[in-house]
Amino acid sequence: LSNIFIVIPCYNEIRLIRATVLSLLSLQYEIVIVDDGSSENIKDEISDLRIHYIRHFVNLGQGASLQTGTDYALQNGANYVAHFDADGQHRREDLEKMIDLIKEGNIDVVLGSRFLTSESFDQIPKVRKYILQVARIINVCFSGLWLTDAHNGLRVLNKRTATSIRLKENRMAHATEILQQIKTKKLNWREVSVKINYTKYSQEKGQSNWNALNILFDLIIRKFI
Amino acid sequence: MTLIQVILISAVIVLLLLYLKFFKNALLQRSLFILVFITGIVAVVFPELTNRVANFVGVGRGADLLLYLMVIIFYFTFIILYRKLNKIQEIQTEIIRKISIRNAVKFSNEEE
Repeated sequence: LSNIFIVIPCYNEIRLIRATVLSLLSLQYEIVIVDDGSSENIKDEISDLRIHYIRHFVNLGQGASLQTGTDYALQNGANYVAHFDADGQHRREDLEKMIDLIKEGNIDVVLGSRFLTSESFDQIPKVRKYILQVARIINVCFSGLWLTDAHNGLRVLNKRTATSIRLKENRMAHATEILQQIKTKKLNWREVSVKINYTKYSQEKGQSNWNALNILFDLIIRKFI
Repeated sequence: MTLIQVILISAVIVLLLLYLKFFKNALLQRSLFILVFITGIVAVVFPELTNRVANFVGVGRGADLLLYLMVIIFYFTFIILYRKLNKIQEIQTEIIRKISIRNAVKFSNEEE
């Protein structure tokens, strides 16, 4: 059993989950699929692969799924926990790079960013770019961390981070919630440049740009009520 | 006594009975609520009383004062219930998480 766990939350991404898992298998990490109450049969799609499979019997949201996967990883002896999206938008090279960095031991949490190099920056759809800029500002208001990227799903946590961060935001606002807790728990963080594959599929199935407003609403409610 | 007064008083009495039936809380809280219901009945029987209270605090009509108070109470109730709901959702998430982790399965590839 490797002590590096990759948590992949999955909600009805049946078309891409297998390819995503296959791309990571050769790394010999432990792969934890958290099936967030999908109506599609995710289990049978990947039950011949070397993975851990957890299922929420009702849909709780991505934040809740990440927390479930992280809890499971820690209970099974994880030293490092990575969060990785199911829809094939992240690249395995980036994950490896981030894990190598965190293994050096000085950093508690490594966050992926699309904005560190122009190469990865240029691929982002235009509207999404503006929304992410606004999201950065919102992030700094709510968390105090000034990051180059706001809502990147790729991150690697060491054991200290994984045990001290507790996601209560079941839905998408967890990305900002993580930053808030990085700040309050004084964790050492670093951003690493990653590329995102913006395929037609991931843009259709992924978050719509309007969902940014939902995230903002969740954050405000949590902050003031 | 006008018809509306009869309707309102019966409604208040029914509400009071329902309250006493469903909310079995502390004596102090119950007494407080009974007081509120009695005030309600008094206000229905002597409407001029609410006008006098309204004038005292600087509002023209008793009915207006009541509306303002209702709006405030509504928002307080909304926030309190929202918090409770959130708490319940957190507990529910925790329960589902525990069950899910307990039922986790580990697949292995036979070819490896």
